Amino acid sequence: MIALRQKRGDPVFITGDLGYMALEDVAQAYGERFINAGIAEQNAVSLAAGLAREGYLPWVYSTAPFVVLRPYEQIRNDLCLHELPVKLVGNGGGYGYGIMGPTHHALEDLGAMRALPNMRIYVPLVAADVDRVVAMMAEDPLPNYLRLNTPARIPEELPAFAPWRRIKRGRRCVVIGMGPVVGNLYEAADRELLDDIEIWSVGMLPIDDVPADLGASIGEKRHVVTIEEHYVSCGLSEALSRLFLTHAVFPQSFTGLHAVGYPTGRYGSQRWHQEESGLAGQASRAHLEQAIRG
Amino acid sequence: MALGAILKRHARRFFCLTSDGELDEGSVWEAALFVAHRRLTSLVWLIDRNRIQGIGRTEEVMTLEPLDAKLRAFGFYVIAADGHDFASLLFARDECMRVLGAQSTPVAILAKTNKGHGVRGMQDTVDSHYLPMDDAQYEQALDELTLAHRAALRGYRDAG
Repeated sequence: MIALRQKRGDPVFITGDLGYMALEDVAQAYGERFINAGIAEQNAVSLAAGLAREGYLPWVYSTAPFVVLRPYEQIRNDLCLHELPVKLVGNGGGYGYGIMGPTHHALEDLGAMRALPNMRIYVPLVAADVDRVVAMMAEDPLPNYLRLNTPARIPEELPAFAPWRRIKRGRRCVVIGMGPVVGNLYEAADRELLDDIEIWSVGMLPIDDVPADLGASIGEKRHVVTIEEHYVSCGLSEALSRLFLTHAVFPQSFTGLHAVGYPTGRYGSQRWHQEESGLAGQASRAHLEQAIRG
Repeated sequence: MALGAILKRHARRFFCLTSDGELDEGSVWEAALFVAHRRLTSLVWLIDRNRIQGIGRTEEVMTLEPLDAKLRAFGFYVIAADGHDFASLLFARDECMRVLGAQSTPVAILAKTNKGHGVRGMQDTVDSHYLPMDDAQYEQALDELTLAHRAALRGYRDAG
């Protein structure tokens, strides 16, 4: 964000009173262009719309649910219907805020943003993606939502951030994921299982093409598993199922690993919630094995 | 937009017109807090205070009074006006410019109005918010509004 301010004359940074011991350098670099709008996200989004109308490039930062759900009508009316380039940044997408509980989680943010006209969603996978994502968003004339989370550590050499990336090749099954939860596959799977799975990452929604290599892989392996830290409704797997149907890509099996919410009614760390949803650890491994071996 | 103009060092004035019924919404008060906190004196808030909202009177649905005290408590200098009287509105305009020139306080103009003003049988009724008019009612309203419009223009000329 600081590099962006040095490069361009138009960025403004609006925070919903978030960023203690995190945004001090941004505040200094942005000066009067750093606006703490208080815990008032509806106004923050409308304020950003006004600034965008005045020719600025506003970034609105808060915890994911507070930047997506709380000001939803302002996002629709003020940003999307006017096609204003306001950049919403939600920290802790999914179970990112862990023990803070469901009020601070965002398990429906992608669906909520997918439903809006003119909205484009960006989800980085690894830390190295963020610079490129910010640069892409700055050039994107549409309103955007950036879902941030603790970045994944992926032991492969990755191509630069793109709507589609093949992370690794594999023998028997295609796994398609969005966001850092993809990194959990490397912990859940042993060597043999890893050799069996080909991993693709989706970085942006909506997505409207199926890369030829992906289509060929699905045609060959026939099993598809999706993984997302999001409710199944309106998430990645639903977006992909429509995409595959419209592109005549027909896998033999289509299994979705996704957040299931709070089955025990208890709260814990992000990892704990991921395990409870079968997105990490033994449960996710069992799902993968089942998808591959039937 | 008012903040954007300040960042650009442009001296421009912004007018924000709201009804009174929508003051039930929290987002309005979020904006009011922000405008007052930032002392956005290039912004003038006009409130159409007709005391009627969707299916009832504002004071029956969700009490807004004492609205002037609430606005003052939020940090606004409040000017009361008769929203149908040009002389009163011109006075409010002059008072507004005087205040904005002399103080670093944003201004809210509380314009008292009658919903359905100038149309007999409609004026100050909840019906005036939603009632679908038939052709006869429409013709009658048009005739009466034409007369009211002429009278208002005469008032404007008289007020200078």
